Amino acid sequence: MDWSQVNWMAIMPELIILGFAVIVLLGELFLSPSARRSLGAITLVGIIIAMVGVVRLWGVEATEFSGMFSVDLTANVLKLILLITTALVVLGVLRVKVTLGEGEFFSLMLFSVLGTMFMASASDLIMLFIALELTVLPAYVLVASKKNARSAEAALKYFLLGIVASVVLLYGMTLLFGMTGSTNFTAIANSLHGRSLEPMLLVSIIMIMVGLGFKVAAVPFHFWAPDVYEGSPVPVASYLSAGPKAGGFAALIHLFPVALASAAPVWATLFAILAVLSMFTGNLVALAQTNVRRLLGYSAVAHTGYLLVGLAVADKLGYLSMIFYFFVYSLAALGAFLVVLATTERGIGENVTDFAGLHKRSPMLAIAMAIFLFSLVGVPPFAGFMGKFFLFASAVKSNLIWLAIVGVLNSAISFGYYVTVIRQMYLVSPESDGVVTVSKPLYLSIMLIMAAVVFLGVYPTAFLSIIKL
Amino acid sequence: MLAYYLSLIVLVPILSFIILVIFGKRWGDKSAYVSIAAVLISLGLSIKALIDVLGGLNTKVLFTWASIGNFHITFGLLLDSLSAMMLVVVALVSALVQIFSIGYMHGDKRYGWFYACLSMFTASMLLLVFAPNYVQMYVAWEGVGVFSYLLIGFWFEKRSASQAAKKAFMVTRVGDLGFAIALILLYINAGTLDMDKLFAMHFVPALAATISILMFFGAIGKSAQFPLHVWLPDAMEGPTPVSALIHAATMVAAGVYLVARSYPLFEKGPVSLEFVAIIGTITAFMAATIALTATDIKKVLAYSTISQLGYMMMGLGVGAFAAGAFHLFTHAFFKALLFLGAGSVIHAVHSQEIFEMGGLWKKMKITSITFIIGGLALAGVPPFAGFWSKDEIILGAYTSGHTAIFWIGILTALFTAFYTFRLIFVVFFGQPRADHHGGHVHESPAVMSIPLLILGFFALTAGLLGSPFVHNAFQGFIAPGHEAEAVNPFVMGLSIAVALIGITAAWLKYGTQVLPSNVISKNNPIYKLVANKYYMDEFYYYVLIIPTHAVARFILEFDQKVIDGIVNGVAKIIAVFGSGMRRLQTGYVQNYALFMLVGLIILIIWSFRFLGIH
Repeated sequence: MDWSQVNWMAIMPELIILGFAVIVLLGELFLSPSARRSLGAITLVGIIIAMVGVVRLWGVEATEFSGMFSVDLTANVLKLILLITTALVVLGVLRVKVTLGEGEFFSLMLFSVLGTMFMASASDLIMLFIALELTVLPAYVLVASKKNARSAEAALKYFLLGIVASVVLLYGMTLLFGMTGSTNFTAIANSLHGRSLEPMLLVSIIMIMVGLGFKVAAVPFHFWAPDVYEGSPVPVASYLSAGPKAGGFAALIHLFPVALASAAPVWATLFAILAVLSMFTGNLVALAQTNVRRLLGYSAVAHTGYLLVGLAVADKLGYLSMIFYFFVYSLAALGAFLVVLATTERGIGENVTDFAGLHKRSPMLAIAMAIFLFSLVGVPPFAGFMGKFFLFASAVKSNLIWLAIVGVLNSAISFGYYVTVIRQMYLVSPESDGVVTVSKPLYLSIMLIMAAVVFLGVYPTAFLSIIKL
Repeated sequence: MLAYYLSLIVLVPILSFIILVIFGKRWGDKSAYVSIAAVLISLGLSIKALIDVLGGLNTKVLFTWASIGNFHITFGLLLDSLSAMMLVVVALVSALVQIFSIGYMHGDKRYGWFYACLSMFTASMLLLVFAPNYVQMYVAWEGVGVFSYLLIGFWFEKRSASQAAKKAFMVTRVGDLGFAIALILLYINAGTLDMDKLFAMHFVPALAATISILMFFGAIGKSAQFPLHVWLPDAMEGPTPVSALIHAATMVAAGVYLVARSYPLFEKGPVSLEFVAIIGTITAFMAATIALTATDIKKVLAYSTISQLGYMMMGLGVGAFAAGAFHLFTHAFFKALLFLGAGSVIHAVHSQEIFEMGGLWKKMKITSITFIIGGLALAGVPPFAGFWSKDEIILGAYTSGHTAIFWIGILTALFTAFYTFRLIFVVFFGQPRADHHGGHVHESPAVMSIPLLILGFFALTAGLLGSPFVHNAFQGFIAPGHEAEAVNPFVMGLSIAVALIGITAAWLKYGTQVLPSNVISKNNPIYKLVANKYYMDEFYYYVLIIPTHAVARFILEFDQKVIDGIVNGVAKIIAVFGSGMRRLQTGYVQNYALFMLVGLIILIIWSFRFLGIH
């Protein structure tokens, strides 16, 4: 390989994140405890610089490192979404006591972000696998970082099930390599072109689907999600609710439509099944939850279901709607988690009933939470409505009317559990009258997300025109 | 540049709404300045837009609101002479009403929310005026409805206020149903809801008439035309400045504007215009007769509004398009003036019953003078604003051969002059009738009286813009195609004569007591019919509300016994399913791994069976 021919610009955002991850880690080693407090701010700066790097690559289409790594609009958009949501998490926890040392916490998060960014740009099976492992390994540590039984249990489950999923994924990739003799997405596509659907290919597709389905918490590979959302430290759960999933969806959007294009009808049907299972399971089980974080965990499963509708549609409109909804969903889910962070920071419990009368104790937090939940249901004029509208409209256009109906029906079911939280906040009187104070950066982060959720609902074109829909 | 300043006309009040929703409570009385500043910016930009239009600009700016793939949802800003005129009227009246409200609403505990609603009410109306397609028109139309609901029911602690708000919302809803059906029919038949495309299309007259009449139902509701006018008098329960805004420039003007804007469509099915004219005439006459007997100052004005709206529809219906639009324009000023004047009076005497007032002339000079100017404009005395526009409408009916409509219009003008000056003589002249407030009555503060003076100026002069002295400049501006009628001495003379006769009769009866007080016995059946507002509310009560309640009770029973059973059953099944699924979440990682692998195997088996692989 001739290194002088490599376009290093193409991986500039990744290099920036890598650099800052190392700096932050070294900062933990060499800085005094008081100086370490600034590591969060340094992380934020690094993420913002990386965002600039991504924006500078806008419109660039390049494949580098012998076809391992490719930059295109989809990858850039997903990286930007990842960086934005991660930046909001970092902003939110700036004044929050994180469970590890600041340097460890933020560098692990940055390494995980790095893995996710590589996942978004992977155009080769090996690259994809390594990037995926890089995404989840730091996440396991982060989940375990609270060093109590619940956190450890969640981490262990996440880790063990993650290994099972990785093994299945790797097995599926091996089969694909065996059939095509290549690991590169385009080469695989060329090799499969015109060939009939062989059983081995089908098994391989399903195994890959299981592996990636685990990452995005699709039913029946979702079991880790509720435990992790409930058990891990709240800042970590906030990060997991948004960021790493971008990698999973990026991989799905790159791998299936590109490498496995010839088998599109098959995997589209399978994704439709996973979508329906995820929607119903997530929403129905969420109805029975009393812990807000667990409720959000199941709601995440249900939302994976909505998002997979885009892959079931299997055309450009479907993928684009999926990316838009992913952004909209991550914002609302992240916002809801940050509200939970704000309340748990003040010693308020995590049960739905602990939110009683929140609007009297902190009107802005209650409004923000209500808007996030309404957006998750898909009530106009919030962003979730436009997202669902486009997603289901793309399904209708591809003659998947039944899938759209299932989606709308599930949105109606989901109203049932989101509204219990809103009811508690607004209609039930609080047990204590104490005002809930929120640290300034966290408050700012929540307000930014709230503004974005309203803005994208009222004027979605702002984002749609950027991603060229 | 153009697109920016035009969109700011709507966006600035919306921004003010957002700011006030967030900070209104904290800022209290200071909220007013945000809202007023916003509407003044809108007003300034609207005037610039009007000047541009006078300079020959005629444009449509389109924004894509949301677009994904081939889906496009657009909204736009249509700027032509009609919309430019309305923008200025809406922004101007809204600005003056908001300034007036500083004094009127002083000390109210929901001050911030009041101004937030006023901002958004204005913004909705501006968005409606700008609409280049019916989707946007409908959205803004509903926005106007929602915010009028909030404002009419602003003092919702008062049961009558919340009832009135509900009535306004429900009754206009009936009309909106027709509007919505019209839009669906349009879309099915034309495949678009863009106005310029629709107006350029060819429609079968019968279809065009059907659609237009259905659309007119929306206007009947919004503009309080017979038989859906019943909400407007009740809407007086809102704060008086809100009444002024609703009556002059926003809410009720929306219906007239809809007809004016859709005029090319109505012309494709001429029957619909006859329908508009007949409904307008009935409304004008009926409301004027009711106003003769009303004794609440705001109710008199409310019925006069209904009557004047009837005139506007009459004008549009008989083909005097420009005259209808002209009356909308002049009416906005003198009716806002009369309402704010009434607000000033109510503010001073704390009563709305005209026979508890009297002799206010001596104590409230500015209010009295401006109110009389408004009254002269309403009564149709030259050179005040209302004369020119009303005369044009009556003239339109005369020249187009609608003889019956013409004579009813003249008779209505007589009643109008009478009830207007009955109000003026009773309220401002003679002796104070109830002495409990006699000593405290004083002129309202400057924030209230200055808007009155400004509106008084317009009520005096706005009509001249469309008078023969300037060759009907207004009509030429609004409707270059529709030539204004030449002055007809017979019609104009008759119109002046009836106005003067009406005023003289009112003076004889209420100013001098020359006429005996019992000219008409209160037991006269006609008097009773009119005083009871033609029993329209009773009619609705017995024909609609009682049967609805009966049906509702039946449905309630059905619901409780049958539907509830089904729903509870479904809920139970879901709950069982949910907790069953939860049981799958055992917490044992071995189980989870097993479920994953089982899932994998089931997917593989299923695919082999159903996806055609063997």
